[in-house]
Amino acid sequence: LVRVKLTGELDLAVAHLLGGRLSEFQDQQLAVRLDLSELEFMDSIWLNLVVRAADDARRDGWRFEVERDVSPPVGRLFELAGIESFLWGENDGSEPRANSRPPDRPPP
Amino acid sequence: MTTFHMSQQEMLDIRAPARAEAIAGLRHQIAAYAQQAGAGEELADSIRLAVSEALSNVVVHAYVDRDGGDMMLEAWRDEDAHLVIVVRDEGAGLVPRRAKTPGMGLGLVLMAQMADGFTLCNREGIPGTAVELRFALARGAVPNPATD
Repeated sequence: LVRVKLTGELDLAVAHLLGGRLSEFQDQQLAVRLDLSELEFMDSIWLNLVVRAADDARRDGWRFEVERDVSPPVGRLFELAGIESFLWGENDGSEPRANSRPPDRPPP
Repeated sequence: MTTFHMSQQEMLDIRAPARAEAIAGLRHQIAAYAQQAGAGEELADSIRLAVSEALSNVVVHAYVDRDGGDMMLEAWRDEDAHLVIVVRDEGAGLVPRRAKTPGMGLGLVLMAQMADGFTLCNREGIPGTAVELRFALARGAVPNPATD
């Protein structure tokens, strides 16, 4: 399991940093757990990267998880985008959601 | 000509090259400005995200047909205790095109969700796009004797 902790501010200027790395992990079928607990800022481009990775994981059987303990700005972004249940399901949130059947379509 | 209703707080008026590396600096400036205007932490977070999305749109879409350009960020507090923020560019404007959208188009949705008022339009009489965002400072407002 590779635990990736992202800190600082994630926007368009650094969007290239995660996508390529996640693709490498996916190609090698290395399980990834994303820690966003200390992230100060995340925009919709990074949100899209996370959602796409989670969607890919469910389609391909790759293990990709996002820890539930996210920073307040990230939590608000996830809530606004309505992706919490997509990432963590309807459980109590104590554990990241394991790979399961993909939703009919990605969240808006 | 645009008429501005100024409060005691000076208007924010910044022009910067439309490059991704410039977004963070502008984002920090608008968050600081919003807090000076009386925005609470959560509202300031919403404002910096919305403005960052608007600026990202400029960087990604405004100057695809030419070699770069500028992005403009203006903000002021109006007499109704709203923070009014305008992000402009001098690019091609709103035109149908097959664009690669790294944010899945979520940026516009987020801006509309977070702001109390959201307008996206072509600039009048000149090339470019303008995004206007309005935020009610009463949302999570903190007392600010300097401006109230």
